[in-house]
Amino acid sequence: MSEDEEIQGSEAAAGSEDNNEHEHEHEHRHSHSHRHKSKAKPVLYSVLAFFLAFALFLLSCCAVLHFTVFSKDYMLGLMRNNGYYEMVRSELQSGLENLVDASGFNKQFSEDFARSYDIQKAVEEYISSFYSGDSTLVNTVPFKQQLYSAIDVYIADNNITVTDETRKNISYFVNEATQIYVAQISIPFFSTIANYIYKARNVLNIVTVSLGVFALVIVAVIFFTNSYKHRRFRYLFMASSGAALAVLVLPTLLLLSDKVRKINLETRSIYSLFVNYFNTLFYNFYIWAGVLTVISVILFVLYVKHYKHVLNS
Amino acid sequence: MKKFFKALSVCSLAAAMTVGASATAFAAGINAAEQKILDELNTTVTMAGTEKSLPVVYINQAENYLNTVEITDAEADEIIKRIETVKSYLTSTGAAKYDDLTDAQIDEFFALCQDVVSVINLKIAYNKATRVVTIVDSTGAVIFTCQIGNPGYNPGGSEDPGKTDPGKTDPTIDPNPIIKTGFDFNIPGVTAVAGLGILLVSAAGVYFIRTKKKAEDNA
Amino acid sequence: MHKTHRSRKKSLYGKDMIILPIVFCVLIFLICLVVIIPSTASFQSTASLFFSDREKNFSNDYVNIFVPVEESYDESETSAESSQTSKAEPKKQETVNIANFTFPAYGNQFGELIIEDCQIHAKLFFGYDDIALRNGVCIYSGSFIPGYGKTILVAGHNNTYFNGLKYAQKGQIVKIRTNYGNYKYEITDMQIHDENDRSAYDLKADSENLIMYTCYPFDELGLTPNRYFVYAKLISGPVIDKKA
Repeated sequence: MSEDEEIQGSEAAAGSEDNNEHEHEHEHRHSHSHRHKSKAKPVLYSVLAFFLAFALFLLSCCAVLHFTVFSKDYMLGLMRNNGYYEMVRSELQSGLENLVDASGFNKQFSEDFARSYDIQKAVEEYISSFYSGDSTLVNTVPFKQQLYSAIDVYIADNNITVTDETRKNISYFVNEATQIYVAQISIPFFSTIANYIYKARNVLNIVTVSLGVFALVIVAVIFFTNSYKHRRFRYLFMASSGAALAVLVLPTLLLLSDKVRKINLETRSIYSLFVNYFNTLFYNFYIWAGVLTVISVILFVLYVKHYKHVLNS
Repeated sequence: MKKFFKALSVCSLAAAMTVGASATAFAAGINAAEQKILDELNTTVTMAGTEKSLPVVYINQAENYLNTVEITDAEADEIIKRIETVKSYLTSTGAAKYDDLTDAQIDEFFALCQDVVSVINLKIAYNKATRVVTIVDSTGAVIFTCQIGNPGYNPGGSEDPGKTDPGKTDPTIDPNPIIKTGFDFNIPGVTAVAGLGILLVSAAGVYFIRTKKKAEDNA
Repeated sequence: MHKTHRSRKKSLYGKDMIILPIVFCVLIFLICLVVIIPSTASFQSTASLFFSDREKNFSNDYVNIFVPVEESYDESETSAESSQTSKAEPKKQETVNIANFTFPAYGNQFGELIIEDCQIHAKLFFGYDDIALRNGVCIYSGSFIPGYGKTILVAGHNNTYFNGLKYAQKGQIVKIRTNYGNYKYEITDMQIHDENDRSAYDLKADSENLIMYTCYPFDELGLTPNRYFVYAKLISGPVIDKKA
């Protein structure tokens, strides 16, 4: 005898809100047709509960994506809170020092070009353009201007004669320095990913709404086609706890694989940013798993309460 | 523009070139198996009736790498066999250069290249948008990167070259080993994946092959 | 009655309340595996490139495999003397088997380069690398190490380690000390070439030749398109026996 049949049997024995119907059922419980019905119904509701669980799982994924990958504030928050700008400043400084070693300036020349505030501003502009669907290009104008001004001061301070050739060489230097700057400010693959994510944003919204409607329909079906309240909550509990489990397992598997720590990015700043990015993404999954767990607990409590009510009545 | 990367045949050769890097490390010298790979690198591939070969700087780099690792005979044979498969495939496409290949052919080509490098646990990735090929070893170190069709590929360049200085590319010349004595500090934006320190060929930039007319070979 | 009571308890905390959510979870992942993962195969292939077997080391340190070997060349030789001796074959053809020393990997410091007349004394690295260039001079990995019998192409900053190349003169001696032997080269020529001039070097050469270069003009402001090449020929040093 299946669990559900047992439940139905026990419910019948204990009485119910709908006594007449139950008595009627009780009379025919051994008939072939009724046995078939009693098996099909719980299977049908279990399938519905599964679809609901799947929808809730996907909804949770969409929600996490909405608040992380598709959120500008998420990215900028990570950058601000994890010392990203300072790391970029340090790397930019190092790159410029190397260039200076090949270009006739003294060591001190490159000291003032990498300022955290300017870098933060440039990176935020770059990220913002990405999230607004614009081309993700680094604005190099302020950096170039700053560099040219500093070179002019350097030339004046050191009484250097500037020929046309020197101007060309300086221009070459500035262009190379700008390339280092661009490489530091930009994020690898960002312009490629930007295009996809910007397009995916609308799709995500449509998918989220569709999944929401789908989930609501299933909830409504489970709710309004079950005459016993406890059964409604039981199937809803199964769905939400199944989804909670899936949402919990996903980041856990990824964290246990220990892949994030081994992400293979070249600079310390990018590495640090993305490790934090993914870890926080996983924590967001845990938050949603927590939300679903709370819902599951509430549903379970409601189930127990109504079931006891059924038993008592 | 004839030199402007006639084909991706080189990628398979590149894969072979880098095989040493991920094999058993610190084995000095060129053994017979490694020599076979070097010999394979010196062969040509026929594409649309034209023979293409690998620039010497890449073969030199391969030799240096093979001096640091140990490749077994079986590995070498398998690598060579798979390279031959790639070469046959390229010949069969009828393409004379990269741009002649269809998207499906490019995918197939790189799948075959992956087969080559997988013999010694390397990974190959190709970014269609930027045409950058990257091969990494099991430690994640980039051991080869090149930009197809752009011999002037500048590994220190910006992700969006059009925004800054676009013009250091000259598609008609061999890969240039001459640096700015202090320039190659930067990662290429498109291949930020690890290990600049052991970039096999990126310093020179791009990998392309010289075209030799059959008639010249026969002469 | 007893049986009914047991059934009630079982139904309240029944196995299906636990098993079904787990089954749902497993099914969800199975569906993801079957439906989503194959459609993202190309993405996974690219993504796998971003992961390695170990955590990346961001240290700015470089690997130093340079342990000086005993001087084998005659220290008493002067530039002028060496110029004369260079016309003759090396006194004794020493060899060093490649299996008997650590072949430098990319980024390794494996020796030092000294040109006393130019006040150059720099660490020698294998492969162009920013850390290496910051700390010394570098051999291009598409050329070869000393003793290999082929071209050795060495780059250095004109502001730092190779600034002294401006004092290079024919006949001056370049010493390269490595972890497997000590070499002497004699400067034979100095030339200025455009950075894209392929005639400035021959990486296919079958004889050992040392080419050092840096940006030119020296001490010029900005980056220059010209390079100062200093050529040298081998005088003495062990030949590498390449048989593994």
